[in-house]
Amino acid sequence: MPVDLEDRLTKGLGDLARSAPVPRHWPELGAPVIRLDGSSPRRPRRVTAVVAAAAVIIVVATVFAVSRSSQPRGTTSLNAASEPGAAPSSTEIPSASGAPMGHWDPNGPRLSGDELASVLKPVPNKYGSVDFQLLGPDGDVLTWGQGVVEMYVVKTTVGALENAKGSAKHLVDILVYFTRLPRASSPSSASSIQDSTPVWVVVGRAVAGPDDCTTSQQCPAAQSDLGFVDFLIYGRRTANVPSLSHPASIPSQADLTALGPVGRWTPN
Amino acid sequence: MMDKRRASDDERGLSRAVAARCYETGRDAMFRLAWLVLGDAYSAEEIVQEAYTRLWEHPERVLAPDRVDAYVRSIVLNLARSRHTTRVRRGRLSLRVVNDPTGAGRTADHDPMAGVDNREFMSNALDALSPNQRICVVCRYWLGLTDNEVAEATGFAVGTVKTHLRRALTTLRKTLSDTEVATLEANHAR
Repeated sequence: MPVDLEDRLTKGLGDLARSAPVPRHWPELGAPVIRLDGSSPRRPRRVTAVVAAAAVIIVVATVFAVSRSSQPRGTTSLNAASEPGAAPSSTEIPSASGAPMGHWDPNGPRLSGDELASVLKPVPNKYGSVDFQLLGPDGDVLTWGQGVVEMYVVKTTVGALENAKGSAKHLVDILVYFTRLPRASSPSSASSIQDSTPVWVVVGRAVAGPDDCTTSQQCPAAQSDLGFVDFLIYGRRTANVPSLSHPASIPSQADLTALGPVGRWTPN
Repeated sequence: MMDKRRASDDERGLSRAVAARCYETGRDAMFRLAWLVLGDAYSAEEIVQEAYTRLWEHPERVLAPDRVDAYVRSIVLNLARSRHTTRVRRGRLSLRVVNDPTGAGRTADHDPMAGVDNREFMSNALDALSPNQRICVVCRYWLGLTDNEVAEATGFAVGTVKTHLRRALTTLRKTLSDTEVATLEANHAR
């Protein structure tokens, strides 16, 4: 019985396929497709843009939620340090060898959220969330491999990151790379995110870095040091700025949390 | 960076030539596959065009020319499955064999009445299946793919394919009356 039924299926499907209607029209491959009803066979670009914007919102909300959730683990996060009255002060940052290599200036120039978001490029990753990268002056996505010599901790808002448009010419040499993004956002946390919800962004400006640090996996120390904001930002090689020997000399989490939520780190 | 872009363009140009040839030679078969799965000629056309458009846009995703058909087939099946899941009314899935509203589809050398029992049988049989079962049955018994090949084309695990096929056959036997099956098998034996 089973064999007969399968044979019947084979023959019946063959007969059915031969009775298939003739397609009305095969357009030339690669030619633009125009339909009478004005619809497009491809997803409209505006839909893609909306989806990308939604992904940006979700990721920013997730980053914020995670940064908040990291507080109970015995550390003072930037979130807590930004409370009124938490006056940051300039502090020297020791390197791995103990020698001072720079200091934070909480009153130094800061990057606005609008400027930063204007050069962010969301890139879907294999986990279903979105990584962010920053575009260089020629439109290329900058990659790993540079050491950070200047670092900013920027306080901005979800709305600013979401709505920022235009260009930021003085930031185009900065690379943003978000690491350790959560695999999925919490619906309850995301629903509580408003445009005015503050977020913190770490920005690094780099000039030169170790040649052996070309991927995120090769820079574990840097990742762990800055993990409290769940992303790392690397800069691009520029002139006239001294270089660091290794990203591991980036200030530790304890250093940053002691300094406050905003500021500028200047190398010696 | 520029070198990489130029290299990518070269690869794309080469692969697009292959893609164009595959489009000419394979689109009718892909259309029949989509039509068998969906039962709707218009949707089948759209899906096949969409699949080849994706191939055209990203030919570099196909590693070898002989993999083009498998790549396009996988897209067609995935798109067809998506259409299945978004359809509200299952009635739209019905294959229109005898009362084909388009009146088309019969080749000049094909007797429209020949094999009508088979087509009726298949029309009823496919409508009784779930979308995933239907896809697996078409791949297995029309394309003649092995379970592993069906799994590759659909993205299912091999075990899932086997489960779909087993349940599909069970459903077919339950749907069709014993008399009908016996009649069909008797006709088949003649």
